[in-house]
Amino acid sequence: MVSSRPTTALARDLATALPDLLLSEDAADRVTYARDLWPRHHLAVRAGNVAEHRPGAITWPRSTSEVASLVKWAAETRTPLVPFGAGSGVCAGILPREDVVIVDLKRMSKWRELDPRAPSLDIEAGQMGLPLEEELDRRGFTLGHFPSSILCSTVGGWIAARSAGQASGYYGKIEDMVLGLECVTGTGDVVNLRHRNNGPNLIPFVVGSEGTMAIVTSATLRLHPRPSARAFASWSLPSTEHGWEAMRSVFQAGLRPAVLRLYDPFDAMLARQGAVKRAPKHDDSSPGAARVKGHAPGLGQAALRRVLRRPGAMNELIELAGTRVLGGALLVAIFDGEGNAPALDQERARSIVEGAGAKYEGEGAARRWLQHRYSVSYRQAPVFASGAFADTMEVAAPWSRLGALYDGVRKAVSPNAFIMAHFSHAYPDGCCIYFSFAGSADLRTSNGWDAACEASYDRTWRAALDAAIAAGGTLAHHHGVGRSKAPRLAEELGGTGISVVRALQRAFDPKGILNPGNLLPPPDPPPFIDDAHPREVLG
Amino acid sequence: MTAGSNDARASMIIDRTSLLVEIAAVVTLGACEDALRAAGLTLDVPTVDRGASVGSWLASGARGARDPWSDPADHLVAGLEATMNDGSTLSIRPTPRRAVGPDLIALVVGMADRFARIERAWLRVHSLNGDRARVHPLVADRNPPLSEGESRLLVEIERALRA
Repeated sequence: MVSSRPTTALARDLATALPDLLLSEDAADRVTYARDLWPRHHLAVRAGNVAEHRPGAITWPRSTSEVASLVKWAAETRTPLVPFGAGSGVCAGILPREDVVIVDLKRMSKWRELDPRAPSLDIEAGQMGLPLEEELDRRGFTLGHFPSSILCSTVGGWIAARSAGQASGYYGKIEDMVLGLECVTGTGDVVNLRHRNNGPNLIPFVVGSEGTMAIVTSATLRLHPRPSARAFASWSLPSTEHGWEAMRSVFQAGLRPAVLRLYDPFDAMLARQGAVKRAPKHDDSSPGAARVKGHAPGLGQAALRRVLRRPGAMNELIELAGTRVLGGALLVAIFDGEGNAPALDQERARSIVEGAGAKYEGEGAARRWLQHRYSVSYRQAPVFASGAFADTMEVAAPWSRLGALYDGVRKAVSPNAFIMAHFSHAYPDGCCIYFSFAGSADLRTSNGWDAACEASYDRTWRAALDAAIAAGGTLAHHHGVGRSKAPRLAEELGGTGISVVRALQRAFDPKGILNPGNLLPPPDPPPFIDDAHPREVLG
Repeated sequence: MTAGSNDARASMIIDRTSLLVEIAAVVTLGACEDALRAAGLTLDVPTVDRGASVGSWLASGARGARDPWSDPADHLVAGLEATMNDGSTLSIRPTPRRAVGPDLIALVVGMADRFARIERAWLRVHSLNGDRARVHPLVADRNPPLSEGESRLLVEIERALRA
């Protein structure tokens, strides 16, 4: 079903085969669906290259049977399909080309069955995150999954990327919530996968497969009663290491704070100031005032760009300033539960954390964090507007390797970018480190600002991933692999691991039509990333 | 389940900081548990066949272990090494969680040696008499029978791994 007569052969063929399917080949839609939020794309956009790798068409199936029919058609015609949630991925999982059809699942967002006894919910994959939690809250439940992207991500996207929410300490990651999946494999068959504690469990092959095994159409997710009580606390610590030792002790004592976040000294300074910019005063709110006050590139951004051209010196300065000037590391905690359980758990945690040298700072920082919990992801824009770049990297390791991972990645990134970190997903046996880095062009190595920025960006990532692997960490804790990390995947999984993933893909998708080129290192650099200098990334 | 070796201490490395034990799959659960207890630790598996090897226990789906849904932030297997049916070695480095594609641990744990044989595993251990976290209970069938679609996919996986 198209609003006007299809003009391309791809759209004509699809419209003829599946006349009831919602379909677009509109130029604006094709630009909209040309990418995800991989920060390297932002560099291309800033350079004036908005979207060279546009899909041929976009579809919006409304039912599992429509998805199955579409996949059957695609398998027969060998047309690549790319499942699409809300496009908030940050690893180039979405990078189509002219012969690709995007399958946007957001028209599939029905609640199929709420089982209050389990409790669990069978929900279609296109359901957006925030409305889901809001409706669950009204009905007395929570999924407990609160990724920073909750405003712009879907259930299907969470499952595809193996997402983590901010309350993973109590509720787990998305893979800890999936009881069942309905999905359409690359042959167009609809299969229902069920979790088994003690037998074959095929769900983990699809969770985290980033659209390459099957298109998830619905998921049965474990729910929890909406917490009736909550306790908050925050502490300052002499160093980041003191902080992660405190986190380890809390989790190994059997406590499960929904949120336990540690910020290294610089990140802590930002967190203490509040996670978002203050709202403009009433009389400052006119568009003209925004320009005058520096929302457009100006002196502040020029200064930022200058500072970021010498990241090594800045990192050393922060390292030296660490505790004394910046106030040390900051740990914030939130406990969820019923009755007085959160307060009791918080008291136990307080005794553990303060025994590790922490100073209690009250509830304020934790409450402020909760209030602004989804704002921090939007802080990158001013960095890009200044002509620099910013990105984040989430790696994980057992506690015994965490120090090596933290030091190794910082040391590797430091010559190329300013780097800071927080630790926001802890477990009894290890932790995720979430590095944020910002850098600028190195004009000694490339001609032109944008090309130099891309080269610097690529160099930073290569150094960071190499260091993470060398330290025994995993390449990704919850952002996934996409095309940006695919070239490094063999270093983590080994040749056998890569072969096994390829075999799984052949089993689920024998013709290789589902998001081809994503996740695994391609045999050759993909030819279609003409605005992203693939050889730099893959090198 | 096959019986295993009783020489646990020679075949295990305890990472006390991470509360993980790296253990050879041939060691029996009984020998593993005895060695851990001597170090003040336990696998904390309530119901267990002490004579079964760690490898065969994991291959059968770790029956008797605590319900993973009772503490979503914890898990049993952090990493493993296995020999695939074609003789190659699959290594999954230990980490609390990962997002690097399909979870290949599921190709081994609970699959009854269909695709690979476990050689070593990194398992979570607990302090003796330590507290275990427990969230609101889940009332759902955690071991439903295999569907026809799932059985078909398992056959396809076997075929693809052989190719």
